[in-house]
Amino acid sequence: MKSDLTLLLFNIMGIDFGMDVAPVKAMEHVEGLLSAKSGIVWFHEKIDLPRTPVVYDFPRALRIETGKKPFHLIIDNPRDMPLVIPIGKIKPFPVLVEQFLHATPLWAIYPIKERILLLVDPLKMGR
Amino acid sequence: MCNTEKEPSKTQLILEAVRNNPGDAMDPEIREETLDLVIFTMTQRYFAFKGRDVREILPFSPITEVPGCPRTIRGIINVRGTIESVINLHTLLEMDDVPVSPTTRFILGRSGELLSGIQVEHVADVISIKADRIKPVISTLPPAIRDYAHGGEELYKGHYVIVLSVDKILKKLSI
Repeated sequence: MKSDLTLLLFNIMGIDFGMDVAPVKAMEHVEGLLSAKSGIVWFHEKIDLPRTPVVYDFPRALRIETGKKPFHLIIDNPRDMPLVIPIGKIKPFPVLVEQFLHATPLWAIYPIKERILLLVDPLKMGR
Repeated sequence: MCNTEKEPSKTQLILEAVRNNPGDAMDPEIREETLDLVIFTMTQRYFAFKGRDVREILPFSPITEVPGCPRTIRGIINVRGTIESVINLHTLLEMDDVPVSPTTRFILGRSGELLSGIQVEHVADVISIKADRIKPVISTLPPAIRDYAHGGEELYKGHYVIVLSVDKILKKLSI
């Protein structure tokens, strides 16, 4: 097993997220996809964000191929440069929090200085 | 008449009684258990946790909200590299929430293996009292507070202090 993980970082409604870049095949503008009738997943449809309405400031579509049907995941504010992190620094959620996340794509935490990245499993983001 | 069986002496009787009930022979000052309490305030009410249920008191630091958690969990914080949850005590006790201020603190509470931050408005003091001063809580308290209360009494500067149970709070939030 590799000892590091390359993350795509993005921020939605003030919360920092990180996602394994391996199944992300492309990043595209959203405008050309909105007329498509299927294969599009908005991030907030899978992650129940604490504040609504959810506003996307700079939405981008990630083309994700997981071995099942490819889909586009719409996220917000992606950072240009991916971040390589050592797997040994990834931490599980605290017990009181983890119990509520079994059915969600959130799977772990990566602390960066004062910030905390919530790690999202792209394989659980598809329909 | 001569009694062949020797009767126990008075001192032996006393010693035997002491051995059977050692608590009665202790100095009352030593026997009275003392208890440390961490006193804090929430919307102008005084509360406390038992000191043995508190690992430390932390200054406020930014909380990362975690989608999918109930409102009773504010989110997570980074405590010197360890990630801890933060409980929303206002919501749990059905009190109006208040904005973060310079006096806001996290009390890191523990119950067995469970550990969590609990956000409070102001930590007033840490006091030591005799354990038997804590009485059952008054019946006029809101049910949401009574559910988590261990007891209460006028314990701090003439204020009625509600002693909350960290154990009850953490167990309530564990599914």
